[in-house]
Amino acid sequence: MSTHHTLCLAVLASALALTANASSHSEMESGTDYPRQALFGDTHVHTGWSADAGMDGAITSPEDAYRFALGQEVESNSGLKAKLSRPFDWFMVTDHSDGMGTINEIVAGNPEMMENDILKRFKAAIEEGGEAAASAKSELIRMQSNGELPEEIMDPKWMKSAWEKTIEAAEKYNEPGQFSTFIAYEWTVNSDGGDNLHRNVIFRDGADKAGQVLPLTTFVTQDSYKLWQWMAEYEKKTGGQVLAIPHNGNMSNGRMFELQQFDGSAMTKEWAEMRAKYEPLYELTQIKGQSESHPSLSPNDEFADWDLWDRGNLILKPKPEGAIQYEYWREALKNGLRIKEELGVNPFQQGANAATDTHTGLSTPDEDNFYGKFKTVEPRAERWDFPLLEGIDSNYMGWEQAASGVMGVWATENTREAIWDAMARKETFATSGPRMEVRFFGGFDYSEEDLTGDLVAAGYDKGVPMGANLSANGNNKAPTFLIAAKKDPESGNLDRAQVIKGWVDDSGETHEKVFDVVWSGERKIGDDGKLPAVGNTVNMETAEYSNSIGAAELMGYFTDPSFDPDQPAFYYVRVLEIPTPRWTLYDKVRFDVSMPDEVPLVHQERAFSSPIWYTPED
Amino acid sequence: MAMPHRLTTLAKEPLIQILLIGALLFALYSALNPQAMQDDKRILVDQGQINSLEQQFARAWQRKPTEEELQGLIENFVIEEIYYREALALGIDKNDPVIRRRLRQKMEIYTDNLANALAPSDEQLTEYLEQHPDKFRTDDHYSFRQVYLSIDQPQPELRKRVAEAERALAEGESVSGDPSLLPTEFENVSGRMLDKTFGQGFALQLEGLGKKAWQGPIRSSMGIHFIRLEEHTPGGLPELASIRGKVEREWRFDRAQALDASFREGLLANYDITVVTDKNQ
Repeated sequence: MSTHHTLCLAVLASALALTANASSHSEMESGTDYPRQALFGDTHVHTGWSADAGMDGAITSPEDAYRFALGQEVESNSGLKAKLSRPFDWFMVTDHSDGMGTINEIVAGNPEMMENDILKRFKAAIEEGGEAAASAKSELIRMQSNGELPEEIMDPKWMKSAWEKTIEAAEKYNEPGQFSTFIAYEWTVNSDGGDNLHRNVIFRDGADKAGQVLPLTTFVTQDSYKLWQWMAEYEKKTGGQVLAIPHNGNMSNGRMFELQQFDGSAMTKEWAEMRAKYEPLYELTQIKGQSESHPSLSPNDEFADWDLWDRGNLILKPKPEGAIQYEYWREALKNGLRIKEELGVNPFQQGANAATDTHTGLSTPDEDNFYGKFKTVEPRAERWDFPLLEGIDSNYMGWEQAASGVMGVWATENTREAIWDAMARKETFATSGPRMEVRFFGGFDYSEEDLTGDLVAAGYDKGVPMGANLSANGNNKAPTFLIAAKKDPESGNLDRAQVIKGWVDDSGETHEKVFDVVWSGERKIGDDGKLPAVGNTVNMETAEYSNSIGAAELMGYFTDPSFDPDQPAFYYVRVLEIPTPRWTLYDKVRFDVSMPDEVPLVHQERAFSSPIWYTPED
Repeated sequence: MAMPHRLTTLAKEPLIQILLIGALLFALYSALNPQAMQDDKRILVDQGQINSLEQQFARAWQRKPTEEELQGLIENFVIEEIYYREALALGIDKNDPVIRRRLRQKMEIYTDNLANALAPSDEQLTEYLEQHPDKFRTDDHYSFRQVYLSIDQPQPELRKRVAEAERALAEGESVSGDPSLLPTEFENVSGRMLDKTFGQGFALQLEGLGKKAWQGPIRSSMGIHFIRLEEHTPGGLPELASIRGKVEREWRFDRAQALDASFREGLLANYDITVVTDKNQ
């Protein structure tokens, strides 16, 4: 290495800072404030305080969720001793704001609730457990979707104390420098019978500000524009800051990225600005499948087909014709470029987020330690064949769950504010669970030598990081990119790193292309333009694999070969691991069960950087 | 008793029915509970109460209530207060599961709050800290330099490079490792952070290394390393002052659980409990 740099760790603050040493160049000293740590956490966790989680028998509290995330042993909802192999760096609890805390009242047989026959039936179902509880939960989601929830659940008096306790738990476990927590909640819009338009609302602030408001519920409004107004009001009133992360577009039946407002009116510039401001990130993978890409939209991408949940909305209502194109991140990024040409603002300029959406209070995006989405699918022999979500004519089964995902942020220190700021500026990457680290810088002045020195300093000094905008530099030069990926030391080696480009041509058509940039081993791109597969070491009898293939790190330099300075474009990185056992294979071996061929047992885990957007000169 | 014709007609009007039933109930209630009628009949809604009503509204709606809305809130509060007093006087709070559960919850919150209200002394916390060292022990910290070789290269080549690096380092020459996101110098980094970077168990490998001389090759999940350990600072129990918040949190958590249990046991001990089932009759 031509330069050295030093990692510095204060005893109490684990913030890594760059300090120059004798052999380093003096300009390196300016790099002290670069974000050098990837910090991992979950933006989407429900506890027993969420109605549908409690329905299913979850009894964990926010405090349990935090203690588990810290690496402490917690008793799971089905009485198992659960523990993470390593703690998270930051964490939050996002219980549904609709009826926060009501479930305890139902379980307790609160007479005011029990006057309602439906709630009475729910209580009996919860006591019975198993399939009955799962059916009751599906029914609850369906009723909420159709606006048929009993009034008893909608009474704000049940919510207030739960919100206060949620805030209290976050504040109690926030440990700047070690473990950061966030005050947050989920605004759960199931429009029109289960079209998933949920948002997780995350505060930058502490109890002094966030405690001044009550969460917005869908009883008040289902229109995301009204949510952004609520957020704006909050910011104006308290001087605080708040952002929202939408999720599961794959189950929105074409509504997540529809080309109009929620009420059907045309997009306006102001609407687009609000969306861009308040929704900087998008949750592109979680237990209920991925919303990053779809094979029907990306027919030339051999890796677009993964963890698909595309058979309908939350209550499995079939999708209308053409809905898919308004559900996935990649397509929305492309449409956003086009909308910007018309409105002057890109409403879909969203960075990469991933989370679990667990309803057990236990965040476990680990294949070999996966506790499932609900209590009814916590580890047991039959869980793979258990109906997880029951629809009108079909079900989503236990085996379809993805043990996914986690978000890494590049932050200057492990504090609530620094991590929130990284989310707001989209300096984030999403993974399907493993804690890989992805670096991505774009600019016009990089050279290949930048890969061998202090890549991070060069990246920031000469260009922009993931999540940022790259403006035309005036001389029609093609942008260059620095790409680096480091494996999760506890997971599989890396297969390849790719750049995914999307752009709008002169006639307003959108396109995408996948470039293999850097890969492990001695493979060569074939005559068909494809990089051969990396191989597979998974032993199907023992659920073991070997890191004898793949690379620990991949570092690559990319210049866009098809660059046109007049065309708006985005670029993001996808990193693939070598094939490793899926949680279903661990279950198969652990519980000695057989599963039919349709159940996937091996997969390639992956990571996605936030995009870098290129904007031509006006 | 025969009623005049007009009264019977009137009595069929729903509103009148309700009034009649109300009057009957009231008569019954007064007969049962003469004391309540003599009690304090004054209700004072002061500015503090009004402020609190306004604040509750504002928290939900992000704005102050209008004059009209505030009037409604005050009226509602007054009616609620009257009903509450009358209900207590009647004793209808008894045998109501909602009220029972709510009160039990409040009792439990009360023990929680007791745990929170107790301000532990430094002595108590120091004692707790010493009794639970594993909860609070700081990591060992390490300072070292490393040369990194990637294993993503043909084996014969890698073997040659390892041997060459070993020779050069032993003779005091400088060696360039492979390009990597891994830093080449670490200064006072915790074992936990090292395990996060290189894989579980890496810090343990450093523990046995001698200082000031290049050692290796050492394998990690990331690849092959030559290490020159400069400094190894063992962890230990920090002073209370530096981690007081965390110690207090854990102390309270344990305390709340213990209080809950002992409170329950104490109450049980005060009661003579007999459970009669068909089996033991």
